Order: sequence, then structure tokens, then C-alpha cells
Amino acid sequence: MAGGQERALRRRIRSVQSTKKITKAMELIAASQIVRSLNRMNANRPYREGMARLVVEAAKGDPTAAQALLGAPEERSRVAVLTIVGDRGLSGPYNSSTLRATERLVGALRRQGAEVRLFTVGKKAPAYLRFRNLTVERSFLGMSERPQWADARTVAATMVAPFVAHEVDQVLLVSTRYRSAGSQGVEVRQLLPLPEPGKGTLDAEGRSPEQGGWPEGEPGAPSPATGGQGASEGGGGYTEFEPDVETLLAQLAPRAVETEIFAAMLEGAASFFTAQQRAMAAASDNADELVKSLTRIMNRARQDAITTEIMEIVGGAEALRQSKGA
Amino acid sequence: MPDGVFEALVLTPEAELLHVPARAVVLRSSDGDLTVLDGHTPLITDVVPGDVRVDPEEGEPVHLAVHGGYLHVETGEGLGGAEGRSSRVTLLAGTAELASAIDVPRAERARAEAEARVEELRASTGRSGGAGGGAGPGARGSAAGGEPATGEPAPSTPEEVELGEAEAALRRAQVRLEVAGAGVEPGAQSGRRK
Repeated sequence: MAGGQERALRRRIRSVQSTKKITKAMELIAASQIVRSLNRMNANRPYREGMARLVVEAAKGDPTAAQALLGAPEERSRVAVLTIVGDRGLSGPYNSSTLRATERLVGALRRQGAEVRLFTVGKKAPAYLRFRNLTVERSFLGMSERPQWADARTVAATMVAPFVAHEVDQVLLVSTRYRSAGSQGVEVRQLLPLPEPGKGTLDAEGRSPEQGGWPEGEPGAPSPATGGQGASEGGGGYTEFEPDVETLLAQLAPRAVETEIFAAMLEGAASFFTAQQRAMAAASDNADELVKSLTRIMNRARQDAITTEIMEIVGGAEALRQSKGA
Repeated sequence: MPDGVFEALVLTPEAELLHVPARAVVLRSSDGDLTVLDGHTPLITDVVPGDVRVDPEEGEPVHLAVHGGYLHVETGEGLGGAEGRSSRVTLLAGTAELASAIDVPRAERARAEAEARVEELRASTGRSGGAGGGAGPGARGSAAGGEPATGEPAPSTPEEVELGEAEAALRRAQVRLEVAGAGVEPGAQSGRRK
């Protein structure tokens, strides 16, 4: 009977409505977290720029010593890859696009004959990658949404150690860059050797768009990474170093990697919440649409039931009248 | 900027602690105490954990507890959009706080906890008298953040790693108390602004 269909539809509508309440709440929470993450990202920027200026200046101090730590690796047979994603899902393409990029990168590196060691931040990474037969050497959990400096230090220490011990030739980072509220994208960056400012970004296969050594003496154009205020504008001649520049550079490289990883984690968190807010807004809209069309179907079902009922009554009355008349 | 005044920045990964026109920055590097004035030679140096004083152009000197970091002195023409020859002094620290923001009771609790932890771990690892343990003010760690530098031999056991962390925590608490103390000395009512 048609009344049963109506009841089923009504239940379905109620369930969609309560789902919408959840997605709406998640949307609002994500929106408030975006602001917080962005504030932290902006608070980190001066430090990051200061560190970039410092490394550039130190590298100019001793180009020979810098060569070991900076620029493009001479050969690339052993690569460590760090992927930064979130601990939670329901964030649209945020996790999956970074993980797909990682998979592509690892595939490309392996085809080039490189040995790849994989490290991850975020709970979503190990499950995805292991399912695709990629071994994750170490994964860090529970630090994606509100990254702390100490977390970044821990991760950086793990990434720097094999490079310092000459166990890997290159350390790469796959993470999401927060360009603006409307644009976030996956980026592959070189962490070690320390890239020249503004040149750390690699293509999806981990190749540098242009290979080049570290500039000797003359600094290049001010990079966006240093906010256009590269040390070049100083032009005040030589810089003194205490302790000597070689020791200093060896100390600075891990600090620069920490800085870079922390910034990437902060940008990742901001991107995560932005993606989540967008995904949840879309889910809420979709729920609205679904309720509307289900209501329409339900109304038609009810109308049909009523019509059938009237037909039955009229038919019954007619039959009665005819039997009386006969 | 007027003569003798330069741009001073104290930056941590979490925040820009200080960005003021300053007359002097006083700190300690691994080579010894250092005062940076306007027009100082371009310099990059490490900063040993301890008190850092910044004398702003106007007002009281500001004290900071810095748990290791680096100082970058840039001097040149038109630096940061300024006219003429000027300096910019940037202190980059993994962890640092303004003396006025130090919670003394909390730092004391942290010191007591860290001391107990270090005792306990030293007893279990059989290692004695490393850096920082009860050495009091001026205890020097690695310059690179009061935490183990990569240059040191890598700790082998989890206990040793933990001991390193506990010692670092102890050093941080000591530096905090030292700097907070400096702010309330008679005649030096500095760093207690806000």
C-alpha cells in the first residue's frame, strides 16, 4: 500500500536533516579553526623569512662548505620523502591529493632507479600508502591539526639524521601549500640539500625545473620566500661568523629544515580546515537539495495514496448504489 | 631612523616577540658577551641560552629569556626600505619569552620536576654530571636551542634520549628563573613592563 512508501520517505528525510545538522556544525567549527591556523601561519612567517636570510648569508660566507649542504644533489640514488597530511578525513581532496602526489613521486623516483624511504605525518597517510604496498618507515600521528614547534623538531630530527649520516642524498617534502583562501595545492619541495631560495619547488616527479648550483658571491634575485627583502639589498660587504662558518652551517641546516617543516605543517593545518569547511558546506547544500527532492517525492506519494483512496470510496459507493437499484 | 637607532627583531617560530627601533642589543654568544649597536659589522653568531637585553629607542630595556638561537646583524644601505646606512638585528630563537611573560611559580615547579626527573634518569642510566645539571645560572647547552645539537654523539638508548630532554627542560627552567629574577632586581625594574 502507498502509505508505507510515504512513511519510508519521511524517515529518510529526517535522517538527511540530522546529517545536515552535523555537517553544518563541522563547517562552522572548521571555519573558526581556519582563522586560528592562519594566525599561527602569519605569526610564523617573520621567523621563516629571517631564517632564510640567515642561511643565504651564511652560505655566501663559505661557498665550498655550503656546496655539501646546498643546491642540487650530485647524484640521487637514495631519497627520503616526507609527506604531510591530516589525522582526520571529511576534508574533501586534502588528504587524497597529497597522498596521490606522494605515490606518483615515489613511483617516478623508483623508475629513475632511486631507493626511496618514506616518512609521514598524519594518520591518514600510513593506511593509504600501505594499502598500495609502500612501506612507511616512520609515521607521526596527532600533530597535524595544531602543530607544535616541538613536533616539527622531532620530525626534522628524523629527516636530517639519515642525510647527515650520508644514508640519503636528498630529502623531499610533499605537502599542501596555502596560497590563499581560494587556492591550496600540493607541492613537492626539496628540504635537503637546502635549496636556493625560491628554487625549492620541484615538479611532480621530483625533478627540479632548472638545475643549478648555489650562487657564489652574488646573490640571486630576492625570492618570494624571503618576502622580497633578500639580504642582497644590504650589500654591506662581508659578514663575520662566530663560530666559524663551517660549524655554523652544519648547525644551521637542521634549523632551516625544522623551520621549513614547521611552516609546512602550519600551512597544512590551514589548508586542512579550509578544505574541510568547503567539503562540509557542499555536504550541507547537498543535504538541502536532497530534502527538497525527497519532500517532493513524498508529497506525490501521499497525493497518490489519497487519490487511490477516493477512487476506492467512489467505486464502493457506486457498487452499493447499483446493487440497491437492481 | 635617527642616528644610533636600528631595527631589532626577536623572532620565534610561534610569534614575533619584539620588533622595535632599538639602541642596543646585549646577549651572550659562544664566544662571550656581545653588545650590538647601530652600524655593527655584519655578523652571524649563535646565542647561548640566557638573558638577552634589548634597549628600545624609548622606554625601559626589555629582557628576554632565550633558549638558544642565532643572531643576524645586517648593516647596509637602504635596509628594509630605510634611507641611508642602517642596521637590522634579527634574533632567531626556537624558544624564547619576554621576561614579563614568565610565570615564575610555574617555572619553579618545572625546575623541581625536571631536577627530579634528571636525578632519576641519571641513576638509571649510570651517567653522571652532564651539562646543565644543577650548574645554575649560565649553564651552557648547545647553542642551538638548549637541546641536543646534531653534532653531539647520538644518544643510543631511549633512557638517554629522555635524559637529554629532561636536562634541556631543566636548563630552560633555570634560564627562565634567572631572567625573571633579573627583571625585579632593585634599580633594574626592567623587563617588567605590561
